Amino acid sequence: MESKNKVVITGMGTLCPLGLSTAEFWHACLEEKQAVSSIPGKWLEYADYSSRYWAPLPEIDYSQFGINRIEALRLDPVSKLSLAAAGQALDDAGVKVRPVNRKQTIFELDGLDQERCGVILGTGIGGLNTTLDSHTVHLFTRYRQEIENLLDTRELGPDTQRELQTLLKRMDYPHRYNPFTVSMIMNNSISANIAIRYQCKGPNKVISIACASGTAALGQSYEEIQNGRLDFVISGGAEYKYDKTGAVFRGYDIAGTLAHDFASPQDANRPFDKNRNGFLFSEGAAAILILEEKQHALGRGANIIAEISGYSESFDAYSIMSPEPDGVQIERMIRSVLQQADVAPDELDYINAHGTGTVANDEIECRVIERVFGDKPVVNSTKSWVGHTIGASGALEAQVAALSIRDQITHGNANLENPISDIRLLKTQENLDISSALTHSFAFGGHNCALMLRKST
Amino acid sequence: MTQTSYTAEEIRQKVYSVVFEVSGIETSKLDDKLTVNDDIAPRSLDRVTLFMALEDEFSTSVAEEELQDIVTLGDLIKYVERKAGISPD
Repeated sequence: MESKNKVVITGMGTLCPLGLSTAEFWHACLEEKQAVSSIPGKWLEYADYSSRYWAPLPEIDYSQFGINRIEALRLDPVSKLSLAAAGQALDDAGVKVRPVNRKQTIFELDGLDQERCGVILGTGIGGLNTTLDSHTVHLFTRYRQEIENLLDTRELGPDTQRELQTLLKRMDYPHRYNPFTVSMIMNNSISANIAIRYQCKGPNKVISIACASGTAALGQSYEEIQNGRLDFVISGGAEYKYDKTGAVFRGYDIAGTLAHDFASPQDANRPFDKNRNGFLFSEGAAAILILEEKQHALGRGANIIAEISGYSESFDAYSIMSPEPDGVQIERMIRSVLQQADVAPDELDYINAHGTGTVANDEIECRVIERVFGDKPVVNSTKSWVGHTIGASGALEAQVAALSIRDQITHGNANLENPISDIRLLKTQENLDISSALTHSFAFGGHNCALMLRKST
Repeated sequence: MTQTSYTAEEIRQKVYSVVFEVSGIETSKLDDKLTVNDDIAPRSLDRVTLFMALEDEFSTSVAEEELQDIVTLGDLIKYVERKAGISPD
């Protein structure tokens, strides 16, 4: 059999509702800190919702991540998150960056061959925040001007004036149609901006398959290195789902996918628990991993966090919004990735589950895990702490899988009081011998992706 | 922009600083005769960025029709001074 390159993880960067670094995120999971609060009150001016909870990001000062004001004006939040996490990941990987322009916005990666460095990321909705802002400006600027003219030129009664002024106040949107709208909304802006900043001239792409985008990006990066096309890939996923009016939240809410009707926000996010009824909407995240050919990493003295040993995909071809009830294609994918990684089902130590908290996902996922593995591997849901970050989720979960292997410990499942299955669902963190870990993602549409990790020897 | 927030010198320094951020031209090399379109912001997107950055710096809005007569950096500084209410129209 043809020998293929080994692929290792040498750096990570993370901005998510649980913190603004990988260490903060990982420690928050281990310390059982949930990111959850009530949705912004302003959203309630626009619609009624079944769910009232979300996982907001901490306030972010992007200048702390080397993104200056001029860049910030031209970037959608999803690109800012990605750039910030990429900078962290390169630093974590021990890659020195050298500025090549006076404004310090373009850098070269010291000692790396630019043409063998790629950027492959995943996102579900890309620059939707800018799309919504620009659309609102486009739609209402002239109407708003008409109302202002009315107020200026007509004799109106005090009640009418007050009502019109309230209406204007509610039309809260940027006053200018952003001239950079096109480059802000396109999904590929997240990978393009990183590669321009760091002068990576190898393959550059964005994969958009909803909740599996991050896992797919890592898998395809793994294959690029494994097959010898690249030495070094900045990979992972990013998502930003906030908008001023709650329109994006409403989409998930009206589809009946979100956790709802709990007395306290703290109780809402409960994957694999009998009382679960949906996932926790997360504002967003970026999770970047540096993937590298093993000899390349060793040659520059990099610290290896874990090795990627297999990747597989399948597609349900069943429903655009629901997983196929028997999980047949998920099972086929898992068996394929086990075979690739040469891991027998009874040898696998740990599964970082998709674990959304929706009724259908968790039931199907547990049944497939039980069929393939019985009750051997421990299973947890990172979404139970950080919420569902869609296109970033698979990359956040791959980070947790890698860190669990590195630190020989993993986190529990939040709010797991009455488990729906007898598989080994962790209630709290546990120190474990973890040599191998599986992390998989299942997306709206029917896309399934699985990544296998192991301790690097 | 608050009408009396800045002195003329403060405005000049802030405009210079924004021009550096957008163009990368060191403030020591800036003078009022430099042209906005050729020297400072030769691409249309650079000009747009320049005006967005000025809006951000001075918490004001810049209407496109107000920009027609701005040719040089000196004109730009005068325009910002007028917006700040310290230079007669």
